[in-house]
Amino acid sequence: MPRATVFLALSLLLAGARVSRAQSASDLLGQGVRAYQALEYDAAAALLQQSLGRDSTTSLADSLRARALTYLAATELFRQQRDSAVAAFRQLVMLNPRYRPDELIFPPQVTNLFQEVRRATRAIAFAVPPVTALRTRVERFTAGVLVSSLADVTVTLAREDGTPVRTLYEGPVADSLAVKWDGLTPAGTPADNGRYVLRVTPRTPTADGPRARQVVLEVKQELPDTLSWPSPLTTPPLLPERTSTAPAFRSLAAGLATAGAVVALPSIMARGKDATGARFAVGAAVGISGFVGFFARKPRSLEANVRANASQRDAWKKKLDAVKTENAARLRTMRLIVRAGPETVAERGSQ
Amino acid sequence: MKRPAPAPLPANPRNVEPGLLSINAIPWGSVSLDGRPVGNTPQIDLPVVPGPHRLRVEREGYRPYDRVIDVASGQRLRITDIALVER
Repeated sequence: MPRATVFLALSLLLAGARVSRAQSASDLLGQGVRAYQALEYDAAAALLQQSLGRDSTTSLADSLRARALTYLAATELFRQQRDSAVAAFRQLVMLNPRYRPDELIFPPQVTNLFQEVRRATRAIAFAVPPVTALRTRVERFTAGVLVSSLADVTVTLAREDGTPVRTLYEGPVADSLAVKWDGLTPAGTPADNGRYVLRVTPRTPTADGPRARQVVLEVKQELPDTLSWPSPLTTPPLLPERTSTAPAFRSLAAGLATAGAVVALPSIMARGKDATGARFAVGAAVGISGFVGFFARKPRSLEANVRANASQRDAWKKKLDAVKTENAARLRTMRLIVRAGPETVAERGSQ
Repeated sequence: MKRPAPAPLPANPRNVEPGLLSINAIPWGSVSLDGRPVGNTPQIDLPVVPGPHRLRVEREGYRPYDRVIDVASGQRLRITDIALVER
């Protein structure tokens, strides 16, 4: 078998295995939920724990993970494993401090325990859109800060190397808070390309208090589109500002041609006859009349057209200035693409 | 967890083994057996006297589930697919 075929077959096999493992996590969750509803609590607990125990590449999405933890906690509660139920609910609160079990599905004994755990578990989390495109100054990058109970926090943005960029919020959060960033540095310039760390930290950290959380943001600048300049003015639409030179030259040409004819024709047409010298005087007179005609019809300025053109030129210059101003403004408002990584627990001591 | 008290078994001079009844519903509801409330769903292995019983699961805003069930001595009867429908 050719090497390429073997490689392809192996790739397909690995990809297939990956898909099937990814499916199995949500399948396990589905089976666990069905077992819970059928009151098969031991089976439900095993299935739900398996669905939560998948490795990071095939793990459940956060929303499904929250569902699995809720069913697991309810399952543990109904099979008299209260401590396990509390542990599952604590994980749930840490995962998403704003999550609430469905009160239609879960009876009060479950939701009451959840509320008890939620009040006792002080958790902070971020809710950040995976990709945000914004125009600096004009639009904002928005991140949600979620807390399980009232917390006093600081939300900062720093370069990955720790250089502070902005403090986005300092103060209390009761339930959730939207922090916004306009994409600018303290100097008022658009943030450079690179990796930044968005971090929420309790202002008075305690050993049993909520852990600081962070999200790495990949920022990329994109040059904005600019407008093209208005096309230069030509005739038309500009009007002629002087009369034509053609009539003057026609008069001159006619005078000179006639003068030439007056001088030359007698000697051509009547060879051997004496031509009088008077023809030169006549030729000169006709030639002079041609010059007179030339100067009489020389081009002159058309004042009305000159005024109309001046107004058109002013309008064009205004258009050009407006385009230049708009382009300068666009270049000041850089477009940023902000891609958010997964949320992680910040190392203790890191600020 | 404190389980709600099951429906008390009536005096049973013949010492017949009770049946065990498990109930679940979506959304959860209040269970009553022969008109006596026994707690919210889920109910697991609720001991009942063998024979016919009127089972009712109800919840505000939903049409109640109301059936007569027959439980045999020693039987584990499970009814876990009750779906309450909105009024």
